Amino acid sequence: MTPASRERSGSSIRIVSHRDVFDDLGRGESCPVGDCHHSAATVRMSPTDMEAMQIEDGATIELRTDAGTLVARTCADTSCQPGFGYMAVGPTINVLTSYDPDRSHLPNLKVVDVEIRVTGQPATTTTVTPGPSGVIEEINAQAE
Amino acid sequence: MHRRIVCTRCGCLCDDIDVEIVQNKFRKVENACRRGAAFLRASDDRQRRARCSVAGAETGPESAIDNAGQLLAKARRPLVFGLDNSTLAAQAAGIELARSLKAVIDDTSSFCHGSVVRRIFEAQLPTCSLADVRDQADLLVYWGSNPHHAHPRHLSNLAYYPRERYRQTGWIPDARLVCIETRETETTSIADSVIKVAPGDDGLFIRGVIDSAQGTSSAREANAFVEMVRKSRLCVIFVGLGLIYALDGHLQPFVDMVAKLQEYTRMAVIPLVGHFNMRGFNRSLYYDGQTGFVNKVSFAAGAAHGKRFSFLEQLRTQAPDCVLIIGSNPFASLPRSLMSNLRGIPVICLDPFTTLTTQSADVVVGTAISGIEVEGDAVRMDGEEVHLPPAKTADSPSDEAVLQELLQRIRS
Repeated sequence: MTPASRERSGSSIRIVSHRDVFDDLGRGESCPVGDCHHSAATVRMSPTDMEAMQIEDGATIELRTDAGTLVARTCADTSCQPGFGYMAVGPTINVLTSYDPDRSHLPNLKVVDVEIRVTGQPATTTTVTPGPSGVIEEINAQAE
Repeated sequence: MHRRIVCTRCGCLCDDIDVEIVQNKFRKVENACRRGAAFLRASDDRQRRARCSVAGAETGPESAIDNAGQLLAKARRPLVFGLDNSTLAAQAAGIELARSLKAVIDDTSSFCHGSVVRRIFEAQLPTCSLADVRDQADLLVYWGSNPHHAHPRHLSNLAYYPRERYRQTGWIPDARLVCIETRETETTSIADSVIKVAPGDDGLFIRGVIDSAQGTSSAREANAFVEMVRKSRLCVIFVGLGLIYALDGHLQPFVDMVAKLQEYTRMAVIPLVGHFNMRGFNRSLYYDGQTGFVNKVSFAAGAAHGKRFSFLEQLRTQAPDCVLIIGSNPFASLPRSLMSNLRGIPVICLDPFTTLTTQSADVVVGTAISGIEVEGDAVRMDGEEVHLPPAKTADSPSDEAVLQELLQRIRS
């Protein structure tokens, strides 16, 4: 894992994953909240970073690592530290994570450095198909 | 019919769940958290339950078990993974099956709390029961975890709120709650003290605490933390995945810190285990399986242990020629780039629910839900053994029965 103080370019960010009970419910079992899948494909970011990167609240961005690419919706959150984005742990973010024993003993499931690119303006409605792969494919399709 | 059951959704194993069952379905669930209630309700949802299948075609349990047995019998380098959501009896059967197959066996603890549990077994880390936490602990530290989402009743049912003594207005528990976190969470919002660390920088804070305990640190937060520990009677640290991943699994600095703090007061460490019987698997393999290891074991020649026998390394090197996954969903919880290495390797999956892993498996055996549809025993996150009375009857065989059946076929 690289140090937190590592310098980043303007279009990169460090994503921290965390447990989200609503994503967990929707992914594994029955979901009492209709749009819980949205939380899996949402990146919460510092408004300072979003302003610097000219990202509007709710815009879709492309997150890219060597392992894969994911399109997710942004959400401005003043509790987020600049330089970091926060996403629910699970199969959606695991498109971006990887395991390289030469770099670390464990996979980078909790902290992953990503390059970001704005792909769309804030959407008012999004149709999301249940299922982890469905989330990615549907939102990708919308961004295109 | 009214019953009191144990929820097997997470490592809390809450034993005060009152349910009303009508026609073998949950009509009412009381005391369960959001995760637990959804889990119990999902058990009644046929769409969510895994069906037996071979190569994607639905079949009966007999045929699926038969195919699984054939795949395992002809495998030369089989890998058994999971068993953390199984009863102790099923775990014993799984370990015995792995031994008979001369297979590699591992579970999720090899990339989460296994290193903590091993150090507890080997007395490198002190621990205590959750009863001790309730009755004696006056300093609770949640490190790299947000129980509000991961273990929603941990605070309310096990650790913080259910206490004999309260302070101030009469409802604030007589214990100090500390969070060591990278961000603001629901848990930090009720904590007495929040120590914020940058993601991945937990090791620096640990170093600061050790230096502070030795009187050589000027770090304000580390000094304040040591002072809180110094004033406490029993300090319990609940270890979350945030801490383990920040240390990249190398826990020695944390072990050194706890040892240093033990010079001031009684310390205890409890892993915030996710799967309800992960600690049971570790115990079963370490003690009952007589390997002396909590995970990453190969039975190819005796019982060998090593990183190369971890599920991660086995997948990276594409070492196995057949993988048996029991009650686990690595296709959801591990990097997709790593799981893609399983392409071309037969995967057998035993699971009560439809998951990404059952969807990717060549052979699926839908099983009963341990502790809900099948009676058994499990080990809670603090090491206490808990009996799991069944709530209702099952349409599917238990994973223990399937593993015993596979064991018989392998031996014959």
